[in-house]
Amino acid sequence: MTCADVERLADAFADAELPAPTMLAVARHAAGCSTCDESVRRLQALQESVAQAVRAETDALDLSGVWPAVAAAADRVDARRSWSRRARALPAALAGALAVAAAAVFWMQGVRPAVESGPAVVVSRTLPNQAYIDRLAGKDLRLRREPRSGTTIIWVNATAGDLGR
Amino acid sequence: MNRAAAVALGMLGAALPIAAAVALGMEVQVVSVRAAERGSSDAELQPVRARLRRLVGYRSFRVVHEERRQCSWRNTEEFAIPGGRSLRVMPKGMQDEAVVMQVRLLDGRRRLVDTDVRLRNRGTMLLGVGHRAGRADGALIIMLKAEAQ
Repeated sequence: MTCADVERLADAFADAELPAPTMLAVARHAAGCSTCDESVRRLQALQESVAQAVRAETDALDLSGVWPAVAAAADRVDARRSWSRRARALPAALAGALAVAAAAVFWMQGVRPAVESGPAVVVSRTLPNQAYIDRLAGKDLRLRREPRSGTTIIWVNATAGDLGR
Repeated sequence: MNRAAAVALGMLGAALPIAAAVALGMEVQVVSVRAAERGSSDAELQPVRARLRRLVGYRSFRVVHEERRQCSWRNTEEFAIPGGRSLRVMPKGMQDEAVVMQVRLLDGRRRLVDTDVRLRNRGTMLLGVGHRAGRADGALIIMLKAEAQ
């Protein structure tokens, strides 16, 4: 390793970009050569001052608005993709929606309006032979149905009491 | 028979059952059943035992009180329920083959349940009182059946 080699490699040495054996060779030469040592030290000091200046500039940056803006932009992109997907799926969706609407119309014809309104309203459509609950009020109640027969039970969470027999 | 007379007879035939139903009101049957985790079940409840078992989880069902009463429309009838409770039923009318009625289960003056139901004519609905299925203290099941004449 000569002074010319160190002068050629000094920048890469200061940036620690050299292979380890070359880094070691430059360091050994600089340790025994005051000129090269001074040159390398100046480069390292310059690099350090540049790094400090960059850090100060970076710390001064206000990035608080960046991620909300990114998120908003991503939402807009998602929304556009979603609408384009919907538009592409329109023929199938249209057919499905028509089927659902037809079913809803038939179902609504079978559902009767509530007799009275009350504080708590539960409307259940039942199998043919049982009960429609139009209004249900009370404390700690549960409504259950047995699907096979369509039997409805209103369950009160309370002590059964003395039932005799 | 001329056409007008036939129409009049037809209308009379259609109106008579309606008038009779309005005049007669309906019959309400209230059966109080004690449900328990162990024990035998009453023979009269055998047809509904499986249904009750699925609904409330107990295994034994015994009738503790039964009452059948004629009710007139828009009049409240009170049925005694074991354990100091009562069931108040007010039939309001018929709607699409269902009896529209207000049902209240009372514990003294306290309303445990206050509901408006449309119960299919000759259909049965249930009210249950208890803490949890399968508990040793059992539960009370009230079977409410309505039949308009």
